[in-house]
Amino acid sequence: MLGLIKKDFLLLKNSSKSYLLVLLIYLFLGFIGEMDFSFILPFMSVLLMMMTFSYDTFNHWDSYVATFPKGRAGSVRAKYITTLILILLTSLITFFFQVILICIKKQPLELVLLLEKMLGTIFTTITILCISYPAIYKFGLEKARIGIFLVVFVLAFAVQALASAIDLNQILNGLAFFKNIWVPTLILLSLIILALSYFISLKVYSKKEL
Amino acid sequence: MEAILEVKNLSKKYENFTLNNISFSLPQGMIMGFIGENGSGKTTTIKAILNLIHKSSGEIEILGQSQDTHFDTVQKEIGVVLDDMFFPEILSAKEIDLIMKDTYETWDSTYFYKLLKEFSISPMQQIKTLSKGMRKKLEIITALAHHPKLLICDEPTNGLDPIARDEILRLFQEFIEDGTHSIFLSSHITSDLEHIADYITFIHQGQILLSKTRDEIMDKFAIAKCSENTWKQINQKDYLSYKKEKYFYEVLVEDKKAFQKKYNCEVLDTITLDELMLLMIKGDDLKC
Repeated sequence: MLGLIKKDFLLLKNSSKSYLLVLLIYLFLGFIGEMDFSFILPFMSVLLMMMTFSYDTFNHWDSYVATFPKGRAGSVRAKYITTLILILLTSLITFFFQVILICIKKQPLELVLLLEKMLGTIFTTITILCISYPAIYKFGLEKARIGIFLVVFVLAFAVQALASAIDLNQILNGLAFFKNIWVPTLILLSLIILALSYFISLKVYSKKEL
Repeated sequence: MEAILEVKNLSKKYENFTLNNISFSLPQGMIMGFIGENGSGKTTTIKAILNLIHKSSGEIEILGQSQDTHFDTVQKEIGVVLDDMFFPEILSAKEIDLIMKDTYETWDSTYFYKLLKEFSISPMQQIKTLSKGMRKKLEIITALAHHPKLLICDEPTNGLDPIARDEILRLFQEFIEDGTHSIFLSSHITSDLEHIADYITFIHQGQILLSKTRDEIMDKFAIAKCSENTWKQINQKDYLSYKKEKYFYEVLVEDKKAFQKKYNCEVLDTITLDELMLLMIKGDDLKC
């Protein structure tokens, strides 16, 4: 399985030319204060993981890897572990970059706020990928991509609509008790979503005709 | 001789195609050529053996173990070369080595690099920059470098020039030299199989028409060319199929000597696998 994790990181390394420029532009925009940098890198991990799926699909890797020891289960497990490593890595890079940026700009350093932002982004990224993976394993990347886009779009629209329809402050006051436990709740929720998604993907992929 | 691969009454039903109750057995240390026209069921059979598709019925035994219950155990003993299925093409041979040594316990980097050198494949070159022949050689080298007991190849020489094909066939022969390794090899380039296969299994429209040793086929099978008068005397039981040409009949016979004794045919040619396929598929009155 370690080999399969390596494979995805080698793919990302070899295709880095295609996304490094975009990353540099975002870094620059973040530096001059034109863009909130906190979510860019973790969200890029969504695109990067989709790119690995794209390479896999193009070369019928799904069928080939199923003939390896640990076969289908190993392949799904490796994909999820790669995803987690990538999200954590990009989140840590973002965190340190933001700290450096704050220090350079001599702004007050609010570590707790930064960490909270990071956790929120990790949760969102994991949720998007965890919705996507079972769909990709079931329908293939091309078909799943449209579905994923629709789901994410509808979710974002629903949250936006909800936020403008209700008095957010009133809700937040009502959920005051949640303020102290939201960090462990979010972590727990992320783990539940991750576990659910993993088992669905595993089931879907092990039944799939390749 | 112990069978390394045994397929018993394997069936797979699709909407437009059925793999119908096929059986064959590959003994250890042998190469079996799996022949048939496009769409005859070769790839479906290979996919069923490799558990890539779910069979409708039947049994498959690999290295004496049931595929249903012990596939995880035997999987590491199989090397696979599939048509158009390989590593993403922005990877290089060196990177394949990095990946595979953490995938197979028995991966042999020294052997992998030795074969790369032998076939003049640069370890640093990305797969997409390799020629079709080079890429296929890399696929085969990758399948061999973990020292599998059984190599399963789907059309490994398809689309390659004669030199590349010859190099690949030589590699296959080296692989089975010690008598403990076996190859199950599908191809419609029958001339390749005439050189290296010990067994020939012929599939047509999802059914096995024939599974015999190559020597048996080459020594016993023949095409008799008969005049219309002789043709009229031939008992239906004594031939497999026939084809009417302009001035004579081509008759496919299973027992050359017996046929020669019984009938007075003008020409009795030793058969090639191409002719065998052609007569069995396109000939009339096939009785298998």
